[in-house]
Amino acid sequence: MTEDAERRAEGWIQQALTLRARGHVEAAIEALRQVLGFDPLHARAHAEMALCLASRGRLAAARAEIKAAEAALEAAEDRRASGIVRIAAAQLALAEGREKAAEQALRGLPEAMRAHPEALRVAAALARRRGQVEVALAAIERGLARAPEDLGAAAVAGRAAR
Amino acid sequence: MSGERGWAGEVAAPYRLVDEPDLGENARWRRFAVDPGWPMLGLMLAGAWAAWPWFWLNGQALGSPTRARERLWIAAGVGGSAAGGLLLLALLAAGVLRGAVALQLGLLVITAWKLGVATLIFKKQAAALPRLIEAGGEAQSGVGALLLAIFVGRALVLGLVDGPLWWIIVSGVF
Repeated sequence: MTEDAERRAEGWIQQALTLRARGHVEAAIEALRQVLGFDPLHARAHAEMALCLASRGRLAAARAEIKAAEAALEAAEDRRASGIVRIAAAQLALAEGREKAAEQALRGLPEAMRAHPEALRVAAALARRRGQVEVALAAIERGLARAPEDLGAAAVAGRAAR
Repeated sequence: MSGERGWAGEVAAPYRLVDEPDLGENARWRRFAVDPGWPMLGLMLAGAWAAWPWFWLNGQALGSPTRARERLWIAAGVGGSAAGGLLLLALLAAGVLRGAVALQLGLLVITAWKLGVATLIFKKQAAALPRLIEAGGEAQSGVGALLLAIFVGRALVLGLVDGPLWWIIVSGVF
C-alpha cells in the first residue's frame, strides 16, 4: 500500500471514529467501506467495521469482518488493529451472550489498548450485565475521560446508573 | 453502498458486507421482493404449497446472503412434512395410533415443523430486508398474491391429487 493510500485510509478511519463516537454508526460504516473499497486487506478498517457492525446487531457481518481482519493481520502485523480485533471479538461475544468469551478477549488485550474507549465500553457493558454497577460506572467514567464526545459511552453510563 | 467521491476526490470500489444483498445478481428478481411476513402468512392462510416457493423466490429477490441455507431449509420443510406424513399414515394403518386425538396430535407435530422451518427462514429474510432498503431497493406488498393464493390457489392445489399425504404436505395450519 502506498503512503498516499495509507494516508487516505487513515483519513477515512478517523472520520469513521468521529462519526461512531457521535452515534452515527451507519455513516461510520460507509466511511470504512471507502477504505475497504480501495484496500480490502486493511486490517484496522475491517476491525473498526466489525465494532460498528456488532454495535448495530449485525453479528454475522461482524463475525466475517473479524475473520477478514485476522486474515489481514497474518499478512502484516499491526498491533493497534490486533487490539481492535480483540475488542470487536469481545463485543461480538457479549452480543451473543457469551460472557466468558468476552471477558477472555478483553483480558487478552495488550496493556496499551485496555484504556481504549471501546474496550472500556465493552467492559462496562459486561460488568453491567453481571450486575456490577459500580465496576461498570468506573469503566465508563474512564472511557468518557478519554473520549468525552463518545455519546455511545455516555448512553452505556446512563443505563448502568439506572 | 457504491463508492463515493471522498474528501480527497477518490472514488473507491464498492465493498459489500456479507449480510448485504448482491444487487448485481438479483437485479432481475428485485421487483418480486416482499416483506417475509407475507410468505409466512401464506403458510398460515393458504398452505405450504404457497409459502415454500414464495420464500424461495423472496430469498432470490432480496439477494439474501443466506439464501443457499434458506433453500436447504425449504427442502427440509418439504421433506420433513412428507416424511412426517408418511410416518403418521403408516402408524395409523398399522393401528399404532388410534382415534381422532392421536391423528390431531400427529398433524400438530407436522404443523409445528412447518411453522418452525418457516420462522427460521422468515428471520433470515427479515434480516436481509433492511439491507436491501438501505441499498435503494424496496419491498412490494404481498397482499394481492396472498389473496390469490387463499381464494384461488388453495382449492386448485389441494384438488390436484386426491390423497391424505398430498394434503398433509401442501397444507398450512390444519
